[in-house]
Amino acid sequence: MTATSSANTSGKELHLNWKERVDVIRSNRWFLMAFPFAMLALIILIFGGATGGNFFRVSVLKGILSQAIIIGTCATGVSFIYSNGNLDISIGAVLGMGATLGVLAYNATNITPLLILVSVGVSLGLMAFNCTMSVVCHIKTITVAIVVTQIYSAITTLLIGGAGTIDIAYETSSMLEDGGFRYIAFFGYFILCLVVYHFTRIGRELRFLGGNETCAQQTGMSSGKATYVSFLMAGLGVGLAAVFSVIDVSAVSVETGSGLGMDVMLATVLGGMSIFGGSRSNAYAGLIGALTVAALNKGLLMVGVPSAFIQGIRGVIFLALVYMNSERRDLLPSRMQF
Amino acid sequence: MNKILKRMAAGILTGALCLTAFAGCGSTGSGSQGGSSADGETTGKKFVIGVAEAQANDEVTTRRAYFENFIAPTYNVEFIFSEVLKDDAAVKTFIENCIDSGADAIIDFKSNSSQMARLCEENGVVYTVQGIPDMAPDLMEGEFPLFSGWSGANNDHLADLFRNWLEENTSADGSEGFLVSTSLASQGNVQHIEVSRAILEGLQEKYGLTYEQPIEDLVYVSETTNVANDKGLLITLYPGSPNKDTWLPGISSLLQSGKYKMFLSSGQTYNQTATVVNEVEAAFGIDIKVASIAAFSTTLDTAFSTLDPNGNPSVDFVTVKPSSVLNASVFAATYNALNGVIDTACRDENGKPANFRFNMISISSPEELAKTKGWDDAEAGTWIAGKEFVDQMLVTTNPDVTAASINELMASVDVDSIAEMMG
Repeated sequence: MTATSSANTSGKELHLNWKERVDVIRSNRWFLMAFPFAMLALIILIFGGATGGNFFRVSVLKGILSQAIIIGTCATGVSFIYSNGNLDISIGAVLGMGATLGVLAYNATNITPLLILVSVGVSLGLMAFNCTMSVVCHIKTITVAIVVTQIYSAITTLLIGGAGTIDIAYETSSMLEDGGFRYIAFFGYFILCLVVYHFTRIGRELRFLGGNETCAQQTGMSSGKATYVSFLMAGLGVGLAAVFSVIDVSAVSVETGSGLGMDVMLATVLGGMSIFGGSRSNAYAGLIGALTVAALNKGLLMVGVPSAFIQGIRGVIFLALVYMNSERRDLLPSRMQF
Repeated sequence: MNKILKRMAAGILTGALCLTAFAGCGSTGSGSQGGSSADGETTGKKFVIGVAEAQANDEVTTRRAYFENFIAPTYNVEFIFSEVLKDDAAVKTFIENCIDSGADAIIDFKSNSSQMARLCEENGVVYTVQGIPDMAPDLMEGEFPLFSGWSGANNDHLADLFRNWLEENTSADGSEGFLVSTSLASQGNVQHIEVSRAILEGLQEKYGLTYEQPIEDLVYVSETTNVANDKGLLITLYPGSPNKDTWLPGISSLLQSGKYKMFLSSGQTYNQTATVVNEVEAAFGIDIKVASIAAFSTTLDTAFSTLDPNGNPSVDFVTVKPSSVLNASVFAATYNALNGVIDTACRDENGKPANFRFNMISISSPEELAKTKGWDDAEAGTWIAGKEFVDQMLVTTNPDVTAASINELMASVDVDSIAEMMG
């Protein structure tokens, strides 16, 4: 009894050690839903207190949203791919190529809508190509992604040329920024994703396929169709994120989008969703995770933590969050179980 | 269940408390070494300066030590250092976070961008960059009253150092085979462009070569390229960032062909290639001469004291940045702007943002390296740009300072003058 104590559950006296207690809490469905939000709120509260209220300033909170918007948009779209049980790490390269062609089209014509249309169109096309390679040629999506990342990056480097960067007129990016395009487009896309993901048949099918592909197919669901839907939804998000990234720095460079695939995975996991999909996947995890990362980065800098320590502290917090959010094989339906 | 939830809540709150306490501790030790001036140099406002870094290497480590251990306590300023920033978006995020943290100025070692200058202007923050004006015409021509200017190496002088070394150390017929790492020249890195150009020009002059493509185009190639020339000499250009995982395997496979006895790099790469160069020398029984960029560091000491299979140092020629001189100039430009003399101390004779240049130092033997012992030594805290040097650049200690006088001071820095300054 030294390491255990009692707890009353369902009218029975159980003896649980600390690890079992944590597992009981982690397995509660409400905990799974609330934990990422609670951690985000807690981080904001802690930094608010530590900075004497400066962290609660509207400009700071707006800055956090602004910094999270690119990864949040991508992660929201890519959650469709994850929930279907697939992985795609080529989104950074897709974003880079979409942004590059969008900027080239804009610079050639000076037509602002063309920047948006070309960026989104190219991203949709590239994601559709990735998906087709996977569905038609029966190659795993991650394998396709690894290969096409090299190809898309090489094309982008060639398109951008020697200078390594292509600028657009500051007035254009400023107009899109000040006109609220980023926020309108982001929230419009986010709501669309929430509706499709959580309130439509295709959304349910995606999650079912992610949880148990064999069972889902036996009930008549089409894996190929679901894969196309998930990649096109992600392509739309990556395309919008490409436009956001151009607006952000009034330029596109050979480094645009680098490391984005990993950032999106991190945001998704921190937001409480497994990148292996399953029935408990959701469309908002990536945004919550991206906001958590942005709040943590800004907060640690504002309270004066040296950059060398920021990486360490962030790593420890990420590990703790991932542990609390991580998939429990014996309790949750997932691809690993079947 | 309620008990468990209560204990979990208590645990989370305890963790939060610890985090807050830890964060609070960090704030007192962040960046600078204490709040008051060691020499009582200034008694006014303690300026906070954000430093945006692009890399994590010897030079950055030395810079950090110079700012934290010398500049911060001596001139009563505080520094916020970034992590490695991979692109302009990351730089922008860092600057925004610095502004929210109360920074008065940004020193940018990554971007050279009017976008960042504009962000700083909108928030009343002084902006200084390492780079050259040619790469940022918007910054030169735009209206940025808080942009204090550029600092960096005198690339013409750097190119001359490489050209002279090539003249003396290449064979009469050019049969050795030349492998040139153009590094980030294809992405616009000015130093890499100038060194790559100097190498190609040096070879052209020495052997009377005619290249089929203009040198201006060759330095920008973005894929491995054999330079076609009328004498049929083997000259291979290898572009790419030495910081990327793919760089070393690519350069290694070229070296392992055994065709190259001269490896010339426009970036700091001698330490990365030391092993493969040794292996190839041993396997083929050849001597590969290595020329590279470097910073004063134990890595450089090791390179010159480690002998290859032929009994030569593992690096044959390096150009070294007197990094404290660069860091002193960016600090001086920033500090003078913060003290209200941006129009005199940070503008050239045409009223444009100042362009501060320093000369690199060449080293080609262990004996020459030995003469530089203790220069910009972070552990010993002995800096080329020490207090007397920096004082000449600051309006608080030299009220007559101008951009021209700072440039004059920087141009006077060479091996002899440093030896004199360092005693």
